[in-house]
Amino acid sequence: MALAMRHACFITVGPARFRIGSDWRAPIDELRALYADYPLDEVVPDFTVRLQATSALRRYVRPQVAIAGDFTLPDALPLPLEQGLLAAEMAMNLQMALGWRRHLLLHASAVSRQGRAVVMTGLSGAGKSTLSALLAERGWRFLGDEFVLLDPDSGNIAPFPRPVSLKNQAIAAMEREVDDETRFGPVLRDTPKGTIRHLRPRTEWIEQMARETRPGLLLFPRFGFPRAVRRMDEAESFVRLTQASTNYVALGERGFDALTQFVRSVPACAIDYATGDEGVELVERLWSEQGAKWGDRAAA
Amino acid sequence: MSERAYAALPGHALKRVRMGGLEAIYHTPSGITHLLAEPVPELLDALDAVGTDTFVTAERLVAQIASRFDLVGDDPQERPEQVLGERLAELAALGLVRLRAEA
Amino acid sequence: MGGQGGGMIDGWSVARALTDPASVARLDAAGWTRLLSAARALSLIGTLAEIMADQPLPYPAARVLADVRLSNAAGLRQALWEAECAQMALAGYPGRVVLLKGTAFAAAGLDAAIGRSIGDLDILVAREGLDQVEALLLASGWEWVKPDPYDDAYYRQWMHELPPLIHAERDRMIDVHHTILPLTAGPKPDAAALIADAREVPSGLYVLSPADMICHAAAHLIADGDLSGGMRNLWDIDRLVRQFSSEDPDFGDALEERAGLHQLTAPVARALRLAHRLFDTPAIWPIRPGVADALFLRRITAVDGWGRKTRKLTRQGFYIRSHLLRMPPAMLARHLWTKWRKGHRG
Repeated sequence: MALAMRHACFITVGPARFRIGSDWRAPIDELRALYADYPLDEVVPDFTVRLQATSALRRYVRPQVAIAGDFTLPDALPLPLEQGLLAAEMAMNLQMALGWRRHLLLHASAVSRQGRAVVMTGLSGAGKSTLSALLAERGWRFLGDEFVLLDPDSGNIAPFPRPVSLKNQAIAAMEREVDDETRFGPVLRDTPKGTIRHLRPRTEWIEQMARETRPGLLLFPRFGFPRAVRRMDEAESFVRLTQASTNYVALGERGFDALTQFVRSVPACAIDYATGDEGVELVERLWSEQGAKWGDRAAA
Repeated sequence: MSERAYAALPGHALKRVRMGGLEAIYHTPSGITHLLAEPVPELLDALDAVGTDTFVTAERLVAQIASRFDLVGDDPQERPEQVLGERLAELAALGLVRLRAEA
Repeated sequence: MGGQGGGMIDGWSVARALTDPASVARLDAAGWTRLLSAARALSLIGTLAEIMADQPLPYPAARVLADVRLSNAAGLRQALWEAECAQMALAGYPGRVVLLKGTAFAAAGLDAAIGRSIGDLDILVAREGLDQVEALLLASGWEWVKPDPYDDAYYRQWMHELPPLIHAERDRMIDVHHTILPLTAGPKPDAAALIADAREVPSGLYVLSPADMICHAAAHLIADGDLSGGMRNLWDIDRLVRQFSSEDPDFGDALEERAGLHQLTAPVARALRLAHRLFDTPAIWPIRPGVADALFLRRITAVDGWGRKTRKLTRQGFYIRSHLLRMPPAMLARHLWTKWRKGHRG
């Protein structure tokens, strides 16, 4: 009879519950530290993740962490043990991307204010993650930097406020922004995505993660380009969001209903910005313009 | 020589949502979403109006809708029923309309 | 927390839950966690979700299984649509197109389809029709998965199917078989009889006759693969036997005749014995214990509460065995040699 995984923990983020098992202690200790503010009690999980040695020998000699679990990709490469935390994060993302069915999943970040969310989506590296982290330090509620969960029944967004995965230059930018060193995870160098450091959201946003919010604005940000704003029509938003969703096809008709309703209910813009400050300012300006219209509608 | 005739799918097989000038169409049997431009939504409407179990040829459909649409292909020499026939054949290949070869 | 996961929980616990759904009332949270992981690893989570649909369940387990049922519905729809697409593409092929495995169960509305995960589309056509079928599929948007001349030649020479094709737009695979076992395997099923005795389903496609369906599932279990899907396979056999034997009291005799025709009497007998042991499948043939049954059962149920396939040594043994069954030794050496050289060419 096989032994249980040597080390394990449970983590709840928003509506999703994970069980993570590991052949080594270190990744579990790092997860427990990074997720100290999240519910860590034992529950029947939605997903099981395993960080396991690629062979019995590899548990000890230049250890390699293979990612396994309920949902896996056949060509996922193992990572060195020093990057075990990243392996766990990647594995949790993978479970959500391939296995989650309760919401329409958009590869996007989101923040909210006064009960209305700004959803930001775009290609990897376009800056949506960093922009959401910046906004979250400047008075916005943080809803998530990786996945936006859209409820097909209510049309609401369920927060999924994982620690922000900061990459390369974004690390220094956020270290300047946040003066609480304890909110940062360890620096992970030479990963397949460069240098990575996690930033834990403010405790209040984790405490409020069960509270849903209405979508208010859809943005397609691009960092590093001269400032520009372009309105985007419903059809283009729709097509882009089908491509940004990992479970749109799997949800079938519920996904179609959720997404068509979403793009018809929120205005959408593509925004280009050269600096983080410019991005924050653009989001806040578009928000105010849109907020005035919600006010009109409420008054009418 | 057989002639191709087309009929609309039953109502529950398609879910259609207007988006500006385009239409997002969810095809229930396949779970595939199509984003289609005019005149496709109009064509589907016209077939619907004929009735879901009535198969009509492109020629007959032209007669039905000629009063409401200008049907002109890229090549002005092309006859409207030919243009329409090509669109219908494409829709049938996607499973969005039913196809029957008539004797 | 980390100390749990051993104990009696493995494939047997999944079999227990499937055959006696009320037994899950005894499970605590940790028990549910292990059961769900084991069922997922055995590709039986979809079946478990449907079987539990009417059971009173604790909320955390119920919501996981509710999600699985949504996935089941999507998978079923996709599989049937893929069959319909193949049917449209093969409209010009005059022979019978016979659906196999999960898609066949679904198209025929069999109990075995309930909650079953369905992967690729598998079809069976007459060997002399292969060229035409291949050409028609290629003309309708399917393309070769791997354009490797060696693999291609290997498939065409020794396997019971064309190299796999994938549809360029829908990203779905189709396996076109001309018989149900590799040509190198011991038993030589009568492919022409399989097709001749196939039954038409409402869509106009065909499925194997009831007895042939069980022959195919048994052949698949015993001779074609490393038993990694063994438990799901035996569950298929359980559902098929229950349904067919309730519809036809003489089904056991019909199965005996067809199994003999296909040289599959021993594999079918073993499959029936194993299904009887695991799922209490009705004994339509006399049950006499077989020598290696315990070994088969150990391998088939080898999964732990973390979803890990356990008992590696047994699994290795079966993998080598399954390769040998598929290829005579000289041919195996040639196969490995070519693979090895390719590996070293990089």
